[in-house]
Amino acid sequence: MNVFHFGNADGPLFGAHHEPAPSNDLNRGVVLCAPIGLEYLRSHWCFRRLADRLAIAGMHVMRFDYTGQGDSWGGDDNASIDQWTRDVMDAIEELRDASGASKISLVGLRFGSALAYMAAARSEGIDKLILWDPVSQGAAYVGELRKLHDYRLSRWKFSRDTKVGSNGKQELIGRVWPTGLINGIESFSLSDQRPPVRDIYVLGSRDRPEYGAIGEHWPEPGVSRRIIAAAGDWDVLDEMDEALLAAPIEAAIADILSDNGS
Amino acid sequence: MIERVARFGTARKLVGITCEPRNDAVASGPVFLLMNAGILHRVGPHRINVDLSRRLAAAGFRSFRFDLSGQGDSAVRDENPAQESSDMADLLDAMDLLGTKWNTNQFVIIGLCSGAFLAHRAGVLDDRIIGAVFLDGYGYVTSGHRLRAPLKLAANPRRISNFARRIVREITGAEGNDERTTVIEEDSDLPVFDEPFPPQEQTTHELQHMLDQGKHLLFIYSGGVPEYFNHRDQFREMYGDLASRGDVDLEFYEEADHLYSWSRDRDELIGRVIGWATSRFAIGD
Repeated sequence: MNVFHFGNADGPLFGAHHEPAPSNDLNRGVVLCAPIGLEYLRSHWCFRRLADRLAIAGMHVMRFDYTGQGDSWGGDDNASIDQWTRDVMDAIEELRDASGASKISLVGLRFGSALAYMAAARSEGIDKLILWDPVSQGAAYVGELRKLHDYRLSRWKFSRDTKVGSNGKQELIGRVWPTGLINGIESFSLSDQRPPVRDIYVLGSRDRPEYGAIGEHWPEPGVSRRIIAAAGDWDVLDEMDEALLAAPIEAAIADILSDNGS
Repeated sequence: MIERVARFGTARKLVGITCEPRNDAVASGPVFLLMNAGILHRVGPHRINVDLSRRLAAAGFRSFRFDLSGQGDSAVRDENPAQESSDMADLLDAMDLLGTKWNTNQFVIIGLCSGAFLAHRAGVLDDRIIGAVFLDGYGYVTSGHRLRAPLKLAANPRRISNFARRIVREITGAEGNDERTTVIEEDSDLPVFDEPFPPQEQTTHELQHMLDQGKHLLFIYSGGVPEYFNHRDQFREMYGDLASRGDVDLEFYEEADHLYSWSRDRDELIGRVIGWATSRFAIGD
């Protein structure tokens, strides 16, 4: 694994490139698009395991942190939907340059799916797009985050005021995001248009009605949907601090990207 | 502020981020080492290690946040020693790296939870560590703790309202639909740690040893570990005269939880650490 900064020199991103063994190089690349906020912390270990697994299967894998998240430059004030989408596109280019891979696929988890979807719509030549427990409607997602935030407050023995006030920001379970970012998340809908990608998969850790609605009005080829029982209780209040371990979905992703499970 | 990714340790299997002020000329104080908190990777809970390292850089200090072997982006050590000795070996590797890179032999270690326990062990063993910040580090139940615990329970407004709701439910026979209330009553004081603390006498002796070596120590407790720490006065009850020493600082953020989940608590904590650092370790030392 190579670790490095990449992208704009004024706002570098942290990245990790997991390389396959030369004898097993399939000449394919995969960019993993992490969730945001607390879900990013919960899924870091799972993403590292997934990246290792895909590299062993012969793929070049790129993990990275968005602007204002993890070890990348900036803070919450520097985050926006447009910036994060450009971060995904920068990661795609970085992986292309570093690996020479002819095919690039995207895997997004939670809101990382939304960012992968938007980046795929603005990119050329994306092979496969895997949407894992995707956030399909941003407004509902922000509603879930607010509920979790309020729940955490309600559990604490002291009353805490987390209203950020009139400076145009909102605190949501650990992050203080600008209103513009929250508005951008709320306005996102995964059902708008089919991005120009060869194959699109929706993988759910449990059956949720909104997964069935993704792509139902898109032209053929539509979307392959699979429900694979695994951890992923994103809206379950008492699970919000648990690290994600989702081996069955990791295996399914490896199969799909190896063309064993399409 | 300049950040660089570093690979280090045996076979360069460990990963960390150096952070330093843009003007290298003023960055001559000790290097701050930011440890993993529990199983979280090096950015820390709610990115607190990143924010802290960048604030330290703004104050003129260099820092290094990194993953111990087997955590975050760092691989497991080939020799696979016991966890404690592996953690210590990783820390020594980090100090060796930074000692060479920045030509320094002075370090200050900052750890939360398991990171605080490692900071304590390292502070005892390594002369290069000249200071430490223990966030919810070791603590010991005292008679004062036992006396205060039920009083705090009784005086907590939220607990009173929960208790009142429970009584109403029992009297009226109502099932109630607020599951969150039930959770509050059942688990808000559950112990956080599985790792047994060393005997109190041993910890006291080791802290005394560190202070006799001239190390500066900042102890910060949150309200998230009430099972073993619940009042500022408890520190003196635990450690006696040691609490009065000039090189010991203490803070108790009772309204903050163990992971500093709320931004105001993180801001206050980071400000306190920066203030301590600038007062104890002047740039140019």
